[in-house]
Amino acid sequence: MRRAAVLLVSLAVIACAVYFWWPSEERVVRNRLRGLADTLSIPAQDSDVGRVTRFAQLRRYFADEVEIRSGTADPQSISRDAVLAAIGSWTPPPGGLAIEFVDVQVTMAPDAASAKVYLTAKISGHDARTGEPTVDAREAHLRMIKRNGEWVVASVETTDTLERPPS
Amino acid sequence: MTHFILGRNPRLTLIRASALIVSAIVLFGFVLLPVRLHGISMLPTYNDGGLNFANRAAYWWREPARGDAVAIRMAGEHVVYVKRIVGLPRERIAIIAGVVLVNDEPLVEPAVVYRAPWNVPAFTLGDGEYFLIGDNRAMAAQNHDFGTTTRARVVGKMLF
Repeated sequence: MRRAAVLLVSLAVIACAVYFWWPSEERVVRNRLRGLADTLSIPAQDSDVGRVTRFAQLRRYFADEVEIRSGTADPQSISRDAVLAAIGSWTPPPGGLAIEFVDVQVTMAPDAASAKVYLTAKISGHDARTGEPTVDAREAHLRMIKRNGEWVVASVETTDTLERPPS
Repeated sequence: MTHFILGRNPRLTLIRASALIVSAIVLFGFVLLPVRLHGISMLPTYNDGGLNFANRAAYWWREPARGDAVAIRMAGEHVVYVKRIVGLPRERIAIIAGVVLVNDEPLVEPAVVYRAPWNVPAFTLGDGEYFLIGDNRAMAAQNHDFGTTTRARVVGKMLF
């Protein structure tokens, strides 16, 4: 009886280990997205060196051409440099902000060379005036492709959870 | 020490503990979704930082109704919007000077204390579509997330 229990627990531990650590492209994509969220986040005490390092890292997360679409607007294809310039020109709020991708759903293409991702981007920061914590969130569909062995973002489409009526 | 933890009847204690764990898993996994509120769009009904629960069971046997404060899922349920239903499927909605019109009749909204003069031209909701707004209409319309959503996105009714 005791031996059977030990065997059962051991099998459960092995099954968990296999489930969590078995290499798969989907897991690689998820880790990549985690890395992207960390790189997009801005620490409270940001420095010039930190900013430059983040930009250098961000280059590795985007394809040469990125298709961007916001809401119902027509998609725009812009270069990676333009994406980085747009991010760089934005002034972050004091106190930094943390970006987190939650509810990430990854659908791999049959050839495992591209993946569709549906997620919620959660942005936590502080109100510039009052210093109160703020949380914002946005739904996004991403298409990721594998380039030179690394997963990069090829398209980003943000979706309005509540669709504004026509004005 | 073991006696202190497990009580006089360890088997009964374990059964009780198991029942408690199973109940908590069922309750919080399938019925109640804990929601930490952020933002001011539902003032004065819900304050920033408050804790509430979205009751998924509320719509197991009936459809969402006007006046219900509901949780709306995004890509999943880790982050949700909390808004109030003002328009139901196939209804004609408009907002004139802050007053919501449903099928051309002014809507009585006891939860709304002050109305900024919002204006939204008339439009008709489709099948399975709901129109939602937060209670804080003192905000400028452009700073307030409101609009239509589908039944599939309604997670549940706020518990209190």
